[in-house]
Amino acid sequence: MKKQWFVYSFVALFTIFALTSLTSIKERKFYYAFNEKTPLISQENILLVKFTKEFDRVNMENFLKDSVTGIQIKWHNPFVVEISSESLTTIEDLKLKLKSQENITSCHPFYKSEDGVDMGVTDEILIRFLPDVSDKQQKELHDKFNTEVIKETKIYQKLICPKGGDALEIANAYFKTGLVEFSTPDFISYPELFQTLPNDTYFGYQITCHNTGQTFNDGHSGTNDADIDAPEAWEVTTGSSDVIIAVLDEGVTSDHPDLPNTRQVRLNGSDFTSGDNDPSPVGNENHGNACAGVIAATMNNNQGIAGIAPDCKIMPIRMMDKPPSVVADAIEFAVDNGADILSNSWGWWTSNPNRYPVVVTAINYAINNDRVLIFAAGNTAIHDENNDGYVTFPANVNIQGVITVGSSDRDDQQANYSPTSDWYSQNNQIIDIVAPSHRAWPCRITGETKEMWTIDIPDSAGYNPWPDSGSCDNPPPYEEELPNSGTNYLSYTGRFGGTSHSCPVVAAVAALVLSIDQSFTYLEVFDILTTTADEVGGYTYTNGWSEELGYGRVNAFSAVCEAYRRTMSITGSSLVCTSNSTFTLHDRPQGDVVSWTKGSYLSYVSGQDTDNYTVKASSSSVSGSSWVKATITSECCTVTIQKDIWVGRPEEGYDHLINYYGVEEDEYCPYDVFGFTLIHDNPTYAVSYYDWEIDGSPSTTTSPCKDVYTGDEGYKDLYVEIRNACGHSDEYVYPYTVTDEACEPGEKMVEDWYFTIHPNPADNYIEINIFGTDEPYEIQIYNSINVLLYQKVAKKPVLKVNTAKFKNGTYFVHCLVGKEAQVLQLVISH
Amino acid sequence: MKASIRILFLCGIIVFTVFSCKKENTPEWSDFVEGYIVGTFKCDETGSEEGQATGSITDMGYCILLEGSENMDSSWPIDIYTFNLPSGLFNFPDEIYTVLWDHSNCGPVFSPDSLKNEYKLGFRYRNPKESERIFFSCGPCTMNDLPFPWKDINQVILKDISKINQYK
Repeated sequence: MKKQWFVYSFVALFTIFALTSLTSIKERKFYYAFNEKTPLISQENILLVKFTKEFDRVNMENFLKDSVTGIQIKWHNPFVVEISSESLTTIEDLKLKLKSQENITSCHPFYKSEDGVDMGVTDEILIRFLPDVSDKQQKELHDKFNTEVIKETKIYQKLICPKGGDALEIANAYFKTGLVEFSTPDFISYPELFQTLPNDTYFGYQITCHNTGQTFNDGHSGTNDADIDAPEAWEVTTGSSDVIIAVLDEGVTSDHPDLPNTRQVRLNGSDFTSGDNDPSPVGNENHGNACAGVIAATMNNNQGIAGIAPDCKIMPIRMMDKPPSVVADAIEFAVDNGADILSNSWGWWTSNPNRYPVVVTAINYAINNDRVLIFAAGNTAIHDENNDGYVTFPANVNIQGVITVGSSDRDDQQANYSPTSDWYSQNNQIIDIVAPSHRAWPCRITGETKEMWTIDIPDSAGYNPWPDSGSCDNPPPYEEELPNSGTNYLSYTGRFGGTSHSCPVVAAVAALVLSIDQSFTYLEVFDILTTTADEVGGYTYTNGWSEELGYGRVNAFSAVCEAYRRTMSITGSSLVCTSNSTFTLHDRPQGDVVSWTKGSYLSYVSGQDTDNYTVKASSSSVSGSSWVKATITSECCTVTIQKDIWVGRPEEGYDHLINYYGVEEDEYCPYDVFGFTLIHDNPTYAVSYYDWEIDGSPSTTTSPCKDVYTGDEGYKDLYVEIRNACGHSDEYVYPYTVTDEACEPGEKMVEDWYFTIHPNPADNYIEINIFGTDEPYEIQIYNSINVLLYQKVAKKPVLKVNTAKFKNGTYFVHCLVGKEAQVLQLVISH
Repeated sequence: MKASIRILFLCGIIVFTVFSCKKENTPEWSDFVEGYIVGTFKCDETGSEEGQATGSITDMGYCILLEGSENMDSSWPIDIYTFNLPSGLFNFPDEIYTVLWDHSNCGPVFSPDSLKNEYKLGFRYRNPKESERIFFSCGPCTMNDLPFPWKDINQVILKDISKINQYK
């Protein structure tokens, strides 16, 4: 009996062990990193859910919060959300409730690799077939697994799995067919920059600088990377103390705990509001502090916030509540005292771009002195009521280079109050760029408030504690303390917003750009900021610009990298033949590494990893457009500079001839003169000469223009070859017919003589040739207002005229033979 | 005959001209109402709604909250505003009638809660005719708030004004 009991027990234990093992085997997940089975660890308390494009995010967030309590939500992109809870029961409960939602395409536990890297799986797969797999085989596999190709590049295909399918299992199944090089889920996994984040107490709430989808004010969470990439930019620069940003506003606190006077330029006469020498705020007027803190609050001091350009200097100018003439005085003061950038989070509620001419003139004064001017666009829109708002004055001033800043929100969407551009308005209603700020006021969207972090007047004044009773424009509860803990916590606030916040964000990024190279002009700064902004939000961008976000959301990292790139240049010949050509990289910072690459038709000679890179044409028979690129890598930025070149002799067939009507005609009237121009489709030929042949008569010009005398009727050819230092092109033939039928009524020429001018355009001399007559002729040259400048009677068929003293411009050369005159146009270009 | 045709033509032109001129009707006066002066402002006059500044400054503008108004507790406790309150009707303290007005505040300055019921008056009012309307622009304003909703608040002309809190 005992033995029997032992056997039963053994069998039972074995069964339990086997079942447990089988279960654990079943749950063990992996993917193929090429051939290597790589384990994935399932985070059962975290779900990664992907929605269809039709879902409503606000409704979904409400559904999630109503369904279960105690969950954290983090959006990875507009359709993928990570939901976590400390309680497994909560997640299991949520899974059941999500099953009823039709707009979910995938729902998986969140995976991590064994070394802790996020490896989230949605419904997308990346795959690359082996080279010999036919299109038919690929299609059969896609049909078998019910997948759809949604993107195809030279590197991979992106597939979308059927709704409810397991992308991980399907990816592995593809791999097991043996027909793919790799097949993995398109993991939600972000490359880590090897950067350290500032230790400032409230940096985690500064979603403008670093948005990871974290939960911050009022339980809100944004979208991962809907930020300006400030930490990445700080790896390049945190600013230069030589760069000064004037904050024209309500004043800045002297020796603020997060903005000491060593980084403030506090000048006598800078308080225009009270007319004294102390530009400190009064009462609860924290707006100037708020703007200044966003720009330059101290970084890594274990308290408060981190400014975006924390090593630059602020010039506080107190000027609010004063009339337009004083505003103009304040602008002039900032310019005259050396401010590089003027940050202006103020304006008048009008769309008239000339409301106060004195202010417009002051802005012109600043621009003419090469200052960067940045204005908040105003908070005039109510998008949830289809009101697009208007850009306020003077943000709408009609002066090139003034930067008008709107607001995006924590999800890279247009903020509810940020005006939309009106391209057709007479009032310059244009947004140039946006920066993050709060989403909306509570009277417009319930649950929204100001939520941007900055510095505050120390102690009880300012925005912390909140000084007003709750209402539409003053949303937080009266005397709310935010923050309510931390070193000097009353010197900080989490209640700033509007385009007032976005303006100093852009001003700070402009300061980082100038910190790379202070010689950038205001137009270059405008160009750098706008060309490197991120085209986010899903709006329609035409030539990089959208009505909602202008050129997009400012990106500090891209801007400083572009600035860094622009400090360098490559010089060298634009034509490379079989002899050595050296290209030189200028202004490479010490310690940065250069690596060169070259385009087609070129052979490497020497200089890789140095500033002087030498190449030559790979053979005498090659010709075509090419390039050399220098890739410069610093500790944090990698940028590429390219120089386009032409290799070898000019290539025939790229060009075409047009006559002076700008068309390629094939019939001309007899005894007429036509100017032909060879149009280069490829301007990098570096052409030296043009060899022409007409009716067996050769001639050479240095310009692509040639006057042709049509002469008698008949079929004729115009030949031209192009020469550069490497050789000449094949002959380009332009056949044409000379016939009476091409003459307009009355046009038919009776003269049997004509004259030509070479070169044209000309520099120091011209050569006039007369054909078809032995008679004496007279040359007269008139300027564009018909003043006779030159006159000579000649008999020889060639006349050389000195034009060195002629000014650049257009002239008319008259040739008179007997009573007949012909006129040709001459261009002088020294 | 020709002369009579000319006279008839001339009369036609005169009649056409007279009747084609649009007469600006005077809006009707309201019933007698009561309200409170709750704020003041001075701004720059502009020639039209979106015009350039003329260089003139408006007279003192007064914000009025009507008795029993729903706007009592709103962030902007105002129903109508006027520029024609007789000077000297009330002896305002600096909190509500600051002598430091320099026409550059961003919208009205509202009186503190303690004074919101103090300056009571009775009056009739009407909207101004287009020719009577005063256009103005306030500011500069900081851009971290919503614009003051001037377009949602009627400018009015007062008459039959009487002070109700006689002891002030």
